[in-house]
Amino acid sequence: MATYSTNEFKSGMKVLLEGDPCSIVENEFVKPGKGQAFNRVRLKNLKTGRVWERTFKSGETLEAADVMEHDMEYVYTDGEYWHFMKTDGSYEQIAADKDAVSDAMQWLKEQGECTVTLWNDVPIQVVAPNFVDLEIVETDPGVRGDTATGGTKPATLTTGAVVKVPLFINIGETIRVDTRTGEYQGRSKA
Amino acid sequence: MIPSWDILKRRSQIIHTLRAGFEARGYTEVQTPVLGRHGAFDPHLHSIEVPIAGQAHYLQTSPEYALKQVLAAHGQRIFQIGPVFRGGDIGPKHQPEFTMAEWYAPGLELPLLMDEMVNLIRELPFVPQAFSEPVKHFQYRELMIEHAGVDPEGVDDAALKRCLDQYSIESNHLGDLADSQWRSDVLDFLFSSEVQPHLTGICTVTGFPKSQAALAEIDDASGLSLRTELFFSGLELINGYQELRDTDELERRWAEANAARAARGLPQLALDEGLKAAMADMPPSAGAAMGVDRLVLCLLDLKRLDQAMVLPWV
Repeated sequence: MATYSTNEFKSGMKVLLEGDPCSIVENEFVKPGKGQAFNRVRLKNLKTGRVWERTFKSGETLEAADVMEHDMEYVYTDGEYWHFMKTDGSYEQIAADKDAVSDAMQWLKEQGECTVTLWNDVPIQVVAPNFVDLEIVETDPGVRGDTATGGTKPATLTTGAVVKVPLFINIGETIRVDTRTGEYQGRSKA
Repeated sequence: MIPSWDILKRRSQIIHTLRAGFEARGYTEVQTPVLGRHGAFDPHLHSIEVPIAGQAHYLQTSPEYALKQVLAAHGQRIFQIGPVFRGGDIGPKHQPEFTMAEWYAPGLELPLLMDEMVNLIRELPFVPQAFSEPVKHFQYRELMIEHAGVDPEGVDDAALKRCLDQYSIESNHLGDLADSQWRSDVLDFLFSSEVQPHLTGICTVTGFPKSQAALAEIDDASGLSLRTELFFSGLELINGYQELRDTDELERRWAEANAARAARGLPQLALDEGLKAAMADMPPSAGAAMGVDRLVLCLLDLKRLDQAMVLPWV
């Protein structure tokens, strides 16, 4: 496997650190006038999502991590694993565990697209699209005509996710949700 | 990469006016070898080694050793503007080859030397408004207490290590060597991470610890080094010393630097006997060095050194 030296570090580069795959967020060379030169690097641990800042001796090397992002289609879950299929024409299926699926779980719709990050061909992270359209299966009855007061109520979606929606929204309607914030965006256009 | 003609023209005007400013103040430009017999012994400077006829030579990290020999020989105000080399330094504000201005004034005290240069900079073309504001003067110790929460005079090594372990940035480059150089490196790391971002506008920092004296004299009363740095918008621009003239002290610092080099797996460097002899002969003097490319950056409001350099390292 290739290695990268601190002077090759750039954002987006995938490296192995303490056995975990990490993505470099930011890299800065610092040479204080009277001290040891170093690189101040912000990294994101791709398994835990934790972002942290640490320094490296200038010239230190890290091993490259075999990390690839794939567009995939969510197929189903058997309760223990979530199954995805590559959309590159290979129809290859892979199974991701609960840790990898994590927060994306509540936004996955069968036949829906998502991005799966593979490390040495094992899924470590699943990211839902920024916006998903999901149907409401449970909420208090809608209040007719109330489109202006700005009040909200909880609504449960087909995936089990609960989002706050305006009072006039009813069961059976399909709404658009921003998966990064979990916020209601509006009724689906389709 | 080649900068625009406009930037190259302005850079030329700045350096031309800088030279004229030195000459108007009685300095004479001298040229010393870019390739010298000795490398700087400071463990943080990487002198690039060039063998000639089987003998090690070094691209100079600054013209300091040679200029001090000229100073000892003639006792005159001298300056040099030319290329210097520091291996491994590549970043937005660092290039392995850059242009340095270095100057020495016999009989002058360091604060006056710094004032003189601030006045000279104010005469340069394209100088931003911020340079005409009054210079703020800070003490290193006060800045460290205020921004880094560490008293560099009071804190012991164990407390410093604890402070580092709890710090938000994991400092893996410093290692566990608890020698005098380790302590200096830790303090300098905290200074660059916590203090420098607060140094807005134009200001000087003085009263650096003894371990960061380089070739500056130590003040008898405070025990601190007579070293002053000038910052502009947090960027170190000028580094000045009340020049060390004690050859025993020079040998002690050289031996300590070589010990730190050995502990870090860096090559040992011979003491420049010409420098040692010059130190014994030179008059009491103040001297300073300035990164000319950084100066151009500040005056032209650029972000990276490579924007103002022909064929930079990127």
